[in-house]
Amino acid sequence: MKKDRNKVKWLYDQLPRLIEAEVIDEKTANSLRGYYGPVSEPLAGPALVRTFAVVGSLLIGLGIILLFGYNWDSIPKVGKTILAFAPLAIVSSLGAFVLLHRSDSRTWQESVALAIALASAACIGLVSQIYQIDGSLREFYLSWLWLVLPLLPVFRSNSIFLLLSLVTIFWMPLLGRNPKVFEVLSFIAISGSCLLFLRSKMKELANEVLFFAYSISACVGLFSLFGGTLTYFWPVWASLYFSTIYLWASREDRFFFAGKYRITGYVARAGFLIVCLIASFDDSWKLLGRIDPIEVASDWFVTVLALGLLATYSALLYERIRKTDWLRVIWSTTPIVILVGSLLPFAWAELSALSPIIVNLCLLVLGIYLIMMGYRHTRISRLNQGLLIIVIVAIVRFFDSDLSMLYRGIGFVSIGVAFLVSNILLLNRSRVHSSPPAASVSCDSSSKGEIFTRKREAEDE
Amino acid sequence: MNRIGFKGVLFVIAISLNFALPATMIYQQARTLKEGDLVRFRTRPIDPYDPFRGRYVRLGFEGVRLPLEDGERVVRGDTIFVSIEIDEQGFAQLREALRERPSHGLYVKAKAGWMHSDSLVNIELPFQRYYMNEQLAPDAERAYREANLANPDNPDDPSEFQNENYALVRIRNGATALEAVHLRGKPIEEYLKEIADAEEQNQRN
Repeated sequence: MKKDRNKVKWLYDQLPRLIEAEVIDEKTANSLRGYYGPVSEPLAGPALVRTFAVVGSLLIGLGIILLFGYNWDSIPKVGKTILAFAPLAIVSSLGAFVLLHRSDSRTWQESVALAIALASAACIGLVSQIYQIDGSLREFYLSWLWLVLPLLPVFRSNSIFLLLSLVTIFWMPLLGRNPKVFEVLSFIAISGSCLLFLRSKMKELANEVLFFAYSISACVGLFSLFGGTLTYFWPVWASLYFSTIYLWASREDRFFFAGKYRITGYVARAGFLIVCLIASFDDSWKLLGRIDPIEVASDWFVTVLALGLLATYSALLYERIRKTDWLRVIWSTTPIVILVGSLLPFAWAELSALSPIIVNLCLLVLGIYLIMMGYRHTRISRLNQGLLIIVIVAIVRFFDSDLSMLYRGIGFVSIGVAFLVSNILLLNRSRVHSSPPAASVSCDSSSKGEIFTRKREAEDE
Repeated sequence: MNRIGFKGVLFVIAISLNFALPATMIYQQARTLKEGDLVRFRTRPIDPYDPFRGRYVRLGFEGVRLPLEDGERVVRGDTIFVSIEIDEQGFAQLREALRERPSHGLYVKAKAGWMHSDSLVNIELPFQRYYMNEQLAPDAERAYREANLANPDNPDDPSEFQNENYALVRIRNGATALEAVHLRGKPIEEYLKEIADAEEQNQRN
């Protein structure tokens, strides 16, 4: 079906040219459109929607764990017990619903499987707290692994696979040199199931393997950049590095074949965001006040490297500006802001406190811009990228400040709910938008331009 | 259809297990609390934070280093059984560390901690955490430490409050349930409230 849609899209793309070349007339073109119907553009990759649904449930789950961890004295034991079981009961019923009525939706399956796993952990943790049961982490992990394991074949969920692998990694060192027979058998059963699952998913996972290979190579590149005196200005160079990779990956005449283009873009943007997040902490800028910029500049290797990077970055950014590719321009201008931020303390020592604030503001502006663009153009993945940035900034600030579990819990739940609600709203909006009547598809040049823009946007996500 | 049937059965099993485990934990604890023998353990001074379980007061106990039976060796994390005697003041004394479950008498199922070269083993009792409200826990921890310290006026004489700080634990067939923690003879919550009230009174004056 997907292939057919692409062919119809190609045909619609060709129609204006065919009319112009007088191969067919307007009437025939319209009858062709009437026959094939509208081409509904996919608004976002299903993988992205799935990821964001998972992020939403994860946030709500974490929020609930935090809220219960607060331990209200006023609630009697029975009430607390009911509250501990409630999330598990709710997500289990949701799980049954998904199995019966939404077994074709990966998004539902991924989110509900993860939610059950988290609710199960929350339930055990809370029961231990309410009834003063002191258990070891080693036993907790083992029981949880066994409780989560059946969810893997039931929902065939990637997030459960990742969760099992992660928990096993944390559990293994606790076994020490004398694991019990049951623990060894459990390890064989769990890792065996994970390997079987991995084998059945090999094709789907190929992209992710590539993703990791790319992120590792990006890290190695970054590490080599970090050497020597560059460390002092690291937020500038690191963000510059990732932005340059991102801009390089957005060039039309790229060296890599098409499949890798998007992954590189993702890795670059992820790396860039991580750098910005680290730079949004006060501590990241402490080193800056203690150095002499002239001493740094006298290291010729560093200077050449830095200037080379800056020149490549500027050339690529200029190219984007000339092509009015504003989305990428907005994504890639942050290094300039960070550069200004890091030069401020040299100009006025009193302004050094401003640098992390500037980075925070910059991230917020980027997030809000992406949300606005996503909403305006009904692009769910762009909206979610914006939301994700704001969520991450919020989470980092949550842990940065010494807020009570109650407030953090409320914060997490509300952000998670906002995430899911905005997605549902936009999905509904996009459904209305994606089914225009066939006759409304005009064949003038603006429509052609719109199709081109749409195509570029789809590539961008 | 078969596939859904298999998945359905597996799903029901998974969910039942998810409910059964915490339910069993509650049942065992409730049964121990109801039917177990009430034993007092003298506490000793030692604000950890557990992201999943809120805050708690970490409890330390007297006499947790025990010799093993002849020739026995244990590794950290091994299950051991500790026989218990009640002294003339009514407090529990850990007597012996055993590899096998004793056939009679009071005993606690515990974990072996670090071994000492002289074949002494540290016992990790299964009731070392007392969970409390996030805001109360740091105060409780402080109060616990202060209450368990030796008499401040005479550090050589720790006996003054020795019999007033203890954990009340129910024991049934080796299983334990922590019922309460007493500081200076009062439940920790009551003790904290008294301190807070006294501070408020002082501030008013």
